[in-house]
Amino acid sequence: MIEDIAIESRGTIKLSAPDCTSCMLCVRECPVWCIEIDSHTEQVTPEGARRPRSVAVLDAFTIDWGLCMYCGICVEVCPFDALAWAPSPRGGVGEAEQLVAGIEDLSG
Amino acid sequence: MTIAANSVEITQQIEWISAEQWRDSLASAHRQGWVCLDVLTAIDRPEQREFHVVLHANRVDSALGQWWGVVVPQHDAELASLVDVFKAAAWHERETREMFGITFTGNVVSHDPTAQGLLLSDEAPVTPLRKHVPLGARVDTPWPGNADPDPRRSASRRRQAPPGTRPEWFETGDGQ
Ligand code: SF4
Ligand code: SF4
Repeated sequence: MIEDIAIESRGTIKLSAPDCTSCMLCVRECPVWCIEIDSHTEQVTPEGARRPRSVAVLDAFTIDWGLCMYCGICVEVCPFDALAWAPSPRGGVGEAEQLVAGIEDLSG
Repeated sequence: MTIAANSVEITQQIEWISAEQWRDSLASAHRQGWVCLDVLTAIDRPEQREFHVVLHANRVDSALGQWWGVVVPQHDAELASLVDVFKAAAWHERETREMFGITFTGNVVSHDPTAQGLLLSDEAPVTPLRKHVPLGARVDTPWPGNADPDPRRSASRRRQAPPGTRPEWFETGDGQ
């Protein structure tokens, strides 16, 4: 879980990828449709377990900062606290496509 | 005055006025010092089959502002113009007419059929701020929320309408 930060500090949104279960709640609640998730399920058998269980594996998670309006709904709806505000705002970019941030960028 | 970014409270109330009293009440407010028209616009309330026309005016002798509102039925979307009270109302009423289809009686431009395009191009949809008018980008863009990692869950999931859309936008036909 990412550390709690005062809500005034809406610099950027951070993703803690290991906590994300690909539940899609943030994607479906985002009013401007700027979060996209690509994921698949895998069968894993934990040691000692009798039957395999399926777990979601996150393949891609992007936020398009060109569309995001910093409303914070995604942060609020995430049941696993995988999204959180971070205080430092993002730097500028040269091309519009660079506003689409992936897992690595969002986790940094 | 300090306002915390996350705790701005909307404390201002709207003073509701009847359509018959709209012009006279605002003329009276103007005489009492509410001289600076800030905004006049409308809200489409399709379920109630009415518009809310709202107006915000400021004073120049203090930092106060005030909202006024009036309910206008959609089957008779006409309201007295305020151009002789606030000159600036001419622009806002013309814009509100173009975006919602409300006529402002007494606003000369609002009645002039040759003065259609203040803000919209000829190709733009008619009265685009009416809620039944589809937002093109929302209809044409695939919603990322349709994806689901687990096909079994996907099959049992209750279908949710994409946020910011209305079901009638996706009905076949002309969408009107
Ligand atoms: S802050 Fe709001 S607009 Fe931005 S990604 Fe989250 S839900 Fe979407
Ligand atoms: S709501 Fe949280 S757990 Fe669910 S997909 Fe979004 S970030 Fe992942």
